[in-house]
Amino acid sequence: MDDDPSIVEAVLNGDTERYGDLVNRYQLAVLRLAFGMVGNMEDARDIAQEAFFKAYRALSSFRKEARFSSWLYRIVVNECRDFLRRKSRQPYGFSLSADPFPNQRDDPLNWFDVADPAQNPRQAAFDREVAKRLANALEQLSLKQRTAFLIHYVHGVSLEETARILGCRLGTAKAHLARALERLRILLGPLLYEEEAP
Amino acid sequence: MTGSHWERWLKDWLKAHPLKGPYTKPDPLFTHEVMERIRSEARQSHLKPRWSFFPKLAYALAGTVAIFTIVWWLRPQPPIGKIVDEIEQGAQTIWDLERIWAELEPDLDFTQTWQEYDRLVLTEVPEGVPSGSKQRGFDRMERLKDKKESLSSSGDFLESEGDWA
Repeated sequence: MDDDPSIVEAVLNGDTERYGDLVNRYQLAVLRLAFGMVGNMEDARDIAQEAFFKAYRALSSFRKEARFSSWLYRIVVNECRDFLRRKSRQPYGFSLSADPFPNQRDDPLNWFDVADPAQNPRQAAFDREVAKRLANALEQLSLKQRTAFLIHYVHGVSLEETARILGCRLGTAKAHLARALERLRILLGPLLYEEEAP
Repeated sequence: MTGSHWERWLKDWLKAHPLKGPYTKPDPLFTHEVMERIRSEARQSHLKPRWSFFPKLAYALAGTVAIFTIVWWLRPQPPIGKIVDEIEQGAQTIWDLERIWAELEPDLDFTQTWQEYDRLVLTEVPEGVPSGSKQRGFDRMERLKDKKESLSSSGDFLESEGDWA
């Protein structure tokens, strides 16, 4: 499979259909990032499509020495910010009771992949509880903290790249992450202490 | 659990249980919709007139000429009104009369001088000079004539020759 710069070059040389390879490759990551920021499946889908479309139109400005994923994530983050500003509303959040996607009602814990048949029942129950509390805790982070957390910890982007995607200095990105971690630690703390206790 | 311990634990947990949201696998319909929009944009861009260098240059030159024309048209005008007023007031004509007067031979007989002056004024004053200007020249001549006559009678004419110049 071709690497990202090769596909970008092919698209810029007129092979528009090759852009579909990039859409397939980054579709899930973009959808999950947008979903994490706006907390709604339908909005996340619209934002992701718009981000891919804008990325296509701006493809000539993509520098080959940069990572395509980081460049794309930055577009997604900006789209989410614009969306939230336009709608003048806060993210829906991860509230399980808010039922952001009715089709998933029977399995609200599918935010995090906690389904592991090999686990013992006690560990499985613990992971499900962590997933539930983590989802609720993420809802209480500010948008900047949540975005930084999603990019760095969930999508595994480096600190430097995270700062670039957020459009801020490295120190600022670190501060957002530190506050996010501390907030999550406080919110999940009791559960973790319960786990450590026995 | 300390900060660093907590961070390490969370990283490990997220690695084992990634956030996947409601999306489990790439959706072909999603890709199709994105690509359809891109194809539509590509088709529309083919229909649009393509801009090449020379049409752009032609438009730029035409624009520059238009701007210069407008600037030239709107440039500050000379005070035509003031010039017209001055001509109408006879200022230029009076200056000509002074010049003509200076050209006259001071030692000519006064009658000859007057006739010469009259000839020069009549022939050299350009057309369109208001009659008022001519009249002022003639009036001055009349005053000098009267003065000369009065001086001639008193024998003091030569001392006031400076008035002729």
